Amino acid sequence: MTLALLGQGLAIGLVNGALYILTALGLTLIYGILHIVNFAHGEIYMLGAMLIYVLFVALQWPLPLAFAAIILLAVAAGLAVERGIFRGLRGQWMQLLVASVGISLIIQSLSWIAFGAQEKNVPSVLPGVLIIGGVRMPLERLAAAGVALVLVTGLYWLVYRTRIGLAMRAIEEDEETARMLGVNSDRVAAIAVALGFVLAALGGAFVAPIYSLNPGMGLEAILMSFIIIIIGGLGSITGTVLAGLLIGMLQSIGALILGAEAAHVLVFAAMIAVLVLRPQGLLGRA
Amino acid sequence: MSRPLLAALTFAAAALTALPSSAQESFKIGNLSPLSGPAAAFGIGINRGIELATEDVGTFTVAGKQYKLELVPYDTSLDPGKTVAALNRAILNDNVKYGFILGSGVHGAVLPIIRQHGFFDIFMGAMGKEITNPENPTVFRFMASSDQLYYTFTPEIYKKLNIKRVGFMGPNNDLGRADVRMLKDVAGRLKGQGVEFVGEELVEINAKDFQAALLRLLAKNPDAIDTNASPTGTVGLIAKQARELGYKGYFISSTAVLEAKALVGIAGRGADNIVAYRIWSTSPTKLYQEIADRHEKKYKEPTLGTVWEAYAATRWVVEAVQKAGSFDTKKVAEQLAGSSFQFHPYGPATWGGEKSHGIRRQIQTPLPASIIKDGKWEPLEVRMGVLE
Repeated sequence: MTLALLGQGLAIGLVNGALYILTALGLTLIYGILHIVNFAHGEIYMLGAMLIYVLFVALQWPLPLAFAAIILLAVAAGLAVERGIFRGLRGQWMQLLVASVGISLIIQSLSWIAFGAQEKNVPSVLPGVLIIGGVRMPLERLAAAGVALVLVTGLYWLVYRTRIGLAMRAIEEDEETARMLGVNSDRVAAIAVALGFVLAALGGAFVAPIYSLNPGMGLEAILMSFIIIIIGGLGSITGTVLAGLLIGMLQSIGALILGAEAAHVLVFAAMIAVLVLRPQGLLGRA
Repeated sequence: MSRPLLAALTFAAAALTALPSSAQESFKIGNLSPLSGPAAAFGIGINRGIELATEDVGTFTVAGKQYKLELVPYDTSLDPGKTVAALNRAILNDNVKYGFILGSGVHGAVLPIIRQHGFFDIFMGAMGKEITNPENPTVFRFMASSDQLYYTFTPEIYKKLNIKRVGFMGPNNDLGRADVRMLKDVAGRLKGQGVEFVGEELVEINAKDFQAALLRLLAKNPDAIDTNASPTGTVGLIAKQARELGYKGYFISSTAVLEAKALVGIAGRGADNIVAYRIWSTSPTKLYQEIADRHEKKYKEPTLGTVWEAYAATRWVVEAVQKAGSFDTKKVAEQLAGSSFQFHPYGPATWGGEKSHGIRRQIQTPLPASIIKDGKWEPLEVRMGVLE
């Protein structure tokens, strides 16, 4: 294997890892704060991608306006789901799990009707390839990876450097005590779910020009997101970043050395190894 | 008007209205195909082909009774488990004995059910004698088989485009593995002409990111990547991502009917030099053009690739049922295998495969090859041989 090939493999792994982080971030946040395994996450991701198609491609809205609309809709959907479904079931993990699966199935079924079965595609707003030292990276992927970096930094700042973040962490530790100390846990939970939905929708919207779209695309996204948050440690933002990059690298270098089939197996093998050796995940708490 | 007369007239009117529906029964044709997901265009195309054929067939008589066609669609998502469930539902719940089943990758799972019930499988899929063989007498492949295309077409294409080094990227399923075996065999036979098989990458069927897998394949400098067994959306993504990695060669898709518009939508100029074997860049017959026009008028979009073959298959099967004078699938199979058909949009059709598959269950029609140039299909002047 030449050095150039290895460099290209590493670059692909890094950027793909960033795309995985972008996809998994919202799932991590909602689990981290509220301990809800949100199976609807993949469908919100899919809706983000489909909405960018509808608004930007079909209706030809300006891109910033389309993103603003997606963020507003995701906030509204997050608040509605938290208030209407999650709040009444908080603390009942099995009921929450079933409810989120139900939401996922409803959204997916309606989406097949609304968007149709044919694959859709969003033309790239950043066509072209950046070539550095023989390593080629499409600009649209680099842009999405940059967005992932910004969102991770922003989320980290929010959770660890702001009052609302402090309240979120307090709820995560012990909701009852947090309430007694004056934290409005319902409000904080609503913000966390809305934020999780926004992150999922943005993830879909930013990867839309990279892949083709259909209403079933959320399934693949949520499968990979679960693998990442399990490996990283449920609810850990840093763990999600680490696991995303690790999986990206494992797939890329694995495929380069062993082939695509073996690389696919490697990802699951890594997940099983982490579950056996460190069940709480790489950076999760026991 | 007196009351008895009014009653008599009402009775007569009711009897006349009821007569056609009681005399006309449904001949159900199932469509067990992906109607959702990346391969949905294939299944939707089959639905539309059946619908257009239904308009042309109208009512028909079998053993003195009048029938009309009824399409019964089942979404399989190209998933073997879902196809098994759909076939069981079709046979046991809906009394459907005839149906399109799309995808050779799902056939390993459904063939035992087809054999058990004598289900008439209007098969739309690739591979070769693994599916159409004497053990499965009610399975008719209404599109070109992989071996037919690989062995009789591929050498001509390689010669025409001066392809010497060929790689494969396809789904990690029965079809992908069968196709890569065949491609290796073809490359081996063409060794004397300098053709070499350089490598293969089998990926998950729903994968959307191929960069890592492509990297290894592209390192072997192929002149052409065979993307057989992948639907349009997947081929578009493979082309786009390979071009981003600097690949300038050909993509060859033997069996899947690709949609140029979708390919160009996904890959942009990167779709240029995608070669497909079953795409007509110009209408081969008057009927072909008529169907394209009717499709566009009825569905408000260009004709999907599977429409023509589904149209022909539906009409041909109905003709065979009429000639057999029975819906018994084994009798109809015998009748069909001995027949030829003049109303195929591609041109005159007959059955072959007696020597290669051990049974005449492989359709033989004129077939083209086309290549995308500047976002549109252009004819690639090569001739396909006949599968004996």
